[in-house]
Amino acid sequence: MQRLITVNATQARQEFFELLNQVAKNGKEIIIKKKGLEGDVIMKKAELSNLTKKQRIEKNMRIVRETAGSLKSKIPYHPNEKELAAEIFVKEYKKKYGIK
Amino acid sequence: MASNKFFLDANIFLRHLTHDNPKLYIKATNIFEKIGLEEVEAYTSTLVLHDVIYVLEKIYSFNRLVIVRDIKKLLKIGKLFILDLEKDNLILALRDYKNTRVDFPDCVYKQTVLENDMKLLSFDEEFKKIKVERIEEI
Repeated sequence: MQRLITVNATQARQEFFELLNQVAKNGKEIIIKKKGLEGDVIMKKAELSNLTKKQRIEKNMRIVRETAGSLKSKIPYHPNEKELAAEIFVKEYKKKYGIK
Repeated sequence: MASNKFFLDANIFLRHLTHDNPKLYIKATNIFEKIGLEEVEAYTSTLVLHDVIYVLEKIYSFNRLVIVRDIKKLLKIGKLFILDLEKDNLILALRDYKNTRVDFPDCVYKQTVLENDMKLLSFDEEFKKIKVERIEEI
């Protein structure tokens, strides 16, 4: 589902309550564009996290450190891993449904 | 104003997690660091995660336990969001799929990027076939 909805200022005014519901209930972000404004305006749900920005960044960076190279495989890097995966998918699909 | 929104392809996750290609690992991990530092917003989709999980399991023989452990961790990074497409844009992706030899998910990623004014982060050169701008680092 699309997370971002882009509207112009007139649409935002006319459909304000509908857009408000989309943000509050469905977690959408509304980008409002208006001619003459230097940047776009974003309407989004406030973060409920009690963490400060510094704490959030510390948490994020811990995750990045923990996951960096966390999966060690004996199988070397395959540049064509996507194609190989697709071939395996086809084989498994045929096997599952008895297709020769 | 330049967009600071990026769409992550599967290979960004794969190279960060596996460290199996030193050059791409550095680029991929730098991308996650920028997201972690909240310098940029990153988006990905369930289709991308499917690719990541499938490749990790079927090509590199990781078990589900470790795959899920690490994907779950990455999804907890605050500025990493999940984004999927509306039907109209899926129809545009199908048009690319019909007119090229590119995989359907890649056609979907192109439309996601175009629809949401993002830049595509990927190490996959196939994207030039569907004329989408691709970058490898931020």
